Amino acid sequence: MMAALCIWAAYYRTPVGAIVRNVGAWVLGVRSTARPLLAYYSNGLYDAQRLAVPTYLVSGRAELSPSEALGYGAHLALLRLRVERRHSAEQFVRAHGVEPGKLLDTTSGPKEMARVLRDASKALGSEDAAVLALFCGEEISRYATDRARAEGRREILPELARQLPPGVEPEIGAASQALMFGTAYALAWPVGESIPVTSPFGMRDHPLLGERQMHTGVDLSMPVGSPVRAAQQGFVRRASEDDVNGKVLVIDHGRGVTTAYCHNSHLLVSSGDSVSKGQLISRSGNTGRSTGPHLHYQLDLGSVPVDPLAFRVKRGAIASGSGP
Amino acid sequence: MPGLSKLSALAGSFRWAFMPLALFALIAVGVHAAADTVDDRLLWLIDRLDEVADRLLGAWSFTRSSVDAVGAAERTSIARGLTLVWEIAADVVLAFPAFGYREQEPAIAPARADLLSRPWFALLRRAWREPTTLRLSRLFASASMALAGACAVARMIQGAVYLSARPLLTGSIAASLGRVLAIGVLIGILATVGWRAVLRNLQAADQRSREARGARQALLHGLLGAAISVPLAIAALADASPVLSFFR
Repeated sequence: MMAALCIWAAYYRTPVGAIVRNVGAWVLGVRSTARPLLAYYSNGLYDAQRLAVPTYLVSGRAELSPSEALGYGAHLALLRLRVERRHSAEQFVRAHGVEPGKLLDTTSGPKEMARVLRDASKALGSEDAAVLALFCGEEISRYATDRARAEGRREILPELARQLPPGVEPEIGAASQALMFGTAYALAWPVGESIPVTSPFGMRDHPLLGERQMHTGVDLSMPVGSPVRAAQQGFVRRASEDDVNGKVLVIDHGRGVTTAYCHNSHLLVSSGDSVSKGQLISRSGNTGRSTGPHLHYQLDLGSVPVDPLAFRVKRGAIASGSGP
Repeated sequence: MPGLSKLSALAGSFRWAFMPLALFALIAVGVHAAADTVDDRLLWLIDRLDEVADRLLGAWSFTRSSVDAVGAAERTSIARGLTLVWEIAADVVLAFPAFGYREQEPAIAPARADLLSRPWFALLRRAWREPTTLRLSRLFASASMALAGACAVARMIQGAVYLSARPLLTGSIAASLGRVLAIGVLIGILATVGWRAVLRNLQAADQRSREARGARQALLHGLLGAAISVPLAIAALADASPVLSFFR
């Protein structure tokens, strides 16, 4: 009996088990149910995914509070979840007095979602537990939260997901998307609103190399020494200098969201530092491979660069701080 | 219950194949539980190496184009890929010896004197009196992995039992049932599969240790395996063996 349990656990929970499942599926000519091998680490959460952001979620949007942003993120993740796997979400919102059909509505959906998640966060103790409850059910989330507490771990999605038996991976994936998008929607703009975007995100002819290349962020033209502020709270994952990116900062905001700030003249924080939203983190410059003073601002979701403008808030919503 | 006896006898006749597989599986689950806690640390290390590489590559015009070749997605894949390689290497070192496991006829209620003359006691005694890198590292690493593996299986059982019993029973009864079964599984695995996995590792290490000649060989023999398995074993004990959580 105990031997069988060990084999069962190895079969479903380890890369070696996944290899066996893949080989078995190949021999039998059926589709393997195993995940990609690298997705067995950190539960494959916040991994790179194709990210098409619907324009209606971003056009003319004012700054969002964190809970409103989470509502947008959860709404977007729900839309991406296959219809047959939305059952838990429908049950969950119905229990909070919301008609499930409303959640898919492009106008009221994100707002209703935000309200439901706000209430659930209070009841369950964290936003991550609330989002897990939305996609997997309240009972599962409560269980995972209790187990994480018993182990003395933080109540964040990767730790909660670790507590659950196999079978809910797609819903956990949807929850991670919701948190990732929600965090990205809560980002503020790192520089003054009037500062122009001189080179947008996407393919372009490189101004120095003359080659057609992907531009993985946006260039913001500004005088040397202009203040650059953290788009959201987080910790400094990288503070370094090289001849291409110049003086560069990378801030990890958690939940798979990082922002990068390149070509600075001075870095005001160091690797490992915690930063708050709007904190002065650097002075812009013209260091590295640069044709003039500017800031290269980059947003990565699940380690994949996305267009920061898709998550930019309206005028007046820049990251504010205590003077330059 | 003749039917049950036959079934039990049938299962018993496959024990020779089933038990080595279970020993392998337990260690593999433990190794994975440990590896899952180190991938973030490897990512941190890869980030630091990338910083240094960017600084060096950016210094010359002919290597400058390589600076952006490794982005965040590649660094994450490299960290997880290295973790996967590390995990499989640890499986080779610690889990594969399980396939050499052979059952022996059980002695009935051995006396204390008999207990001390049993082969496994002799293995432990040799590890204590004639320590080699192989003997000590395999003993420590396999014991850590067996504990982490047992915790991982117990956690899966607790979740599966609680979540399937919850619709049928009240919350507190389902929770208690899940916890009791998890504790039972934790103890059961350690008592039936766990110690066998550790001793099988020690047996394999002992056989190879006997080939070592002199203190230098005793130290160097199995050093690579120790370098692979001991850091993961420490991670298994520190981050992947929440034994007390089942009692809270």
